[in-house]
Amino acid sequence: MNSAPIDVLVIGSGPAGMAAAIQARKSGSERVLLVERAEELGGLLSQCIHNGFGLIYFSEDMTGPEYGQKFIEKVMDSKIEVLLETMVLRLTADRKVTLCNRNGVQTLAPKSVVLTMGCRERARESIVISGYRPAGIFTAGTAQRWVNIEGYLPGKEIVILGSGDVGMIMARRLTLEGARVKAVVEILPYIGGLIRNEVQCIYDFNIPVLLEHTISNIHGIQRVNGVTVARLDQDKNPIPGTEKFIECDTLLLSVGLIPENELSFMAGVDLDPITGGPIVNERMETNVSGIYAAGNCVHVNDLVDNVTLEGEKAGQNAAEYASGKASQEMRIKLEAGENVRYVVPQMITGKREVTIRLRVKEPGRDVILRVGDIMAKKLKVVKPSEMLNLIVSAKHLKEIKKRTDKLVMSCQKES
Amino acid sequence: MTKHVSEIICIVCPLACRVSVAADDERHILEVDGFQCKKGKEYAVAEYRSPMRVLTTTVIATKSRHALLPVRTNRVIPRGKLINCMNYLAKIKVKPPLKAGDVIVRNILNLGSDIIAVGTLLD
Ligand SMILES: Cc1cc2nc3c(=O)[nH]c(=O)nc-3n(C[C@H](O)[C@H](O)[C@H](O)COP(=O)(O)OP(=O)(O)OC[C@H]3O[C@@H](n4cnc5c(N)ncnc54)[C@H](O)[C@@H]3O)c2cc1C
Ligand code: SF4
Repeated sequence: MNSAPIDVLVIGSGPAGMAAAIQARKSGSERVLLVERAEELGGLLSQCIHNGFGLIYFSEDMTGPEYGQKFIEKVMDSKIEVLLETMVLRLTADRKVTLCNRNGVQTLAPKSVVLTMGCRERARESIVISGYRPAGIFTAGTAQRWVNIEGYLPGKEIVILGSGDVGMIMARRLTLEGARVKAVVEILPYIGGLIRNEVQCIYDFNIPVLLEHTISNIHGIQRVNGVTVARLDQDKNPIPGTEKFIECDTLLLSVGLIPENELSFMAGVDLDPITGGPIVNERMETNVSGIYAAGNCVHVNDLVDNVTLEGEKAGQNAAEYASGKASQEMRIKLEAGENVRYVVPQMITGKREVTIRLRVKEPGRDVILRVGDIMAKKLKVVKPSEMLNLIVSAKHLKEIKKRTDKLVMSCQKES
Repeated sequence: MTKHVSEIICIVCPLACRVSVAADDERHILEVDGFQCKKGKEYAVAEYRSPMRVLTTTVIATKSRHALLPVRTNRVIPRGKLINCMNYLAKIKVKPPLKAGDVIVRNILNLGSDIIAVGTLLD
């Protein structure tokens, strides 16, 4: 390898990492290194073979692999150094990055680092269901990999816990492949994913949905042979007497994603307890100088297009840092207020236009989204499953009073 | 004559309006209600007449490091034909090299849509 110092080192080559690496090169970084533990670039895109990608970024309806391919080609064309089958094992606050691959272990000292490690799925261990530990319990993402890449069907009679997008997409996929999806069980009183998936994955195939239900027991010793579902009361406790047995050989868990941040934690990056990802500012910079973050590693995105945009921002700013540009003071905190679960970025300068992404806690209609007292926007519908994007212009930011050090975001009914 | 009302959820925007389409015994549309914009009305009428979908799936790969090749229809096809296409594609096997955009099945089941590769197939 080249002996000049690395300007920007990107950890993880999903859409966030590829966008960051491409943008870092475009912004003038000479040496950009993209490190990926898998055998191929692209992160989760290769297993997401359904369409619905790129509607915002390319104004085109693409599948995951097609969307990924566009960026893989750009990575190849932009003289980015790529290390595949290479795992980053350690990251320190002074940006020492320890890698491990077939050639052994080595430590690099790039001028800046971008964290784009994505997220992982919550597994059975992180939710509590009683029963034995039989074969036939998968996370929805593992099942997606099996069906779309490896060519295995995880089972024939399936129950899915969780109605998020990955769960619904898998309900359709397994049905098309000849399995029978006997129920999608959802704890909340509404379906958790995009409306498009609700219609085209669930209703199109008449898949039964049990809202305000949970799985209270998994049956089977060697292999799953059924689950007990039960209705939930207002406090989310199973109501005695409502239990029902559903025969099945497979249970898929689609119960949420957790940003992958062991490396961030090691480097002393402050994590947001709600998103599970680094606290970032409008430049996608963390509290550790020279370390940037983007994509699902920061917060779980429902649209890949937003992941790409975040990655580009992180890559550009990491490149500027590598070229010696100092970071700016972030003095204003964006705080999640009434009916707002989280806000990204969490810190801003208040000096330039910023795109704020946030999620609400509860669905609502005819609400007003407020940014402190400087901006208010009427919205017809809000849902926890659909991330909100709000551009706050420099003009609005001028309204911020001199001594203000926080803006509370809220999303409440019009009064 | 009886009036049949179908409820169609509009998926054009996140508002997800519930549009009701009333039709007679011959499925002639009598009235459409509940939409909030023109696009929604058009969607509901089209969805009532013939729901069209993109099919995305995989076909078996041989002589390749990959077990499967992801594919899709290059045009929408009637929703009622999705399973027929799946059954047809279950018998298709492909060999490398293939790249995104390559036609795998031309005019599948005479539906006016090709099945094209969306990924790369290497040997
Ligand atoms: C199972 C699953 C299914 C999904 N399905 C859909 C879907 O159908 N549609 C949709 O729009 N979105 C889907 N998503 C969301 C999707 O993850 C995002 O749209 C997008 O892929 C996130 O991009 P990313 O770059 O942040 O992360 P990822 O695509 O997850 O990429 C992260 C990359 O980092 C690598 N990595 C992590 N740690 C290390 C390390 N220590 N060293 C080296 N490499 C590392 C990983 O191998 C991976 O390649 C899904 C998410 C999951 C978890
Ligand atoms: S009818 Fe119009 S406003 Fe209502 S969901 Fe459809 S597109 Fe949106």
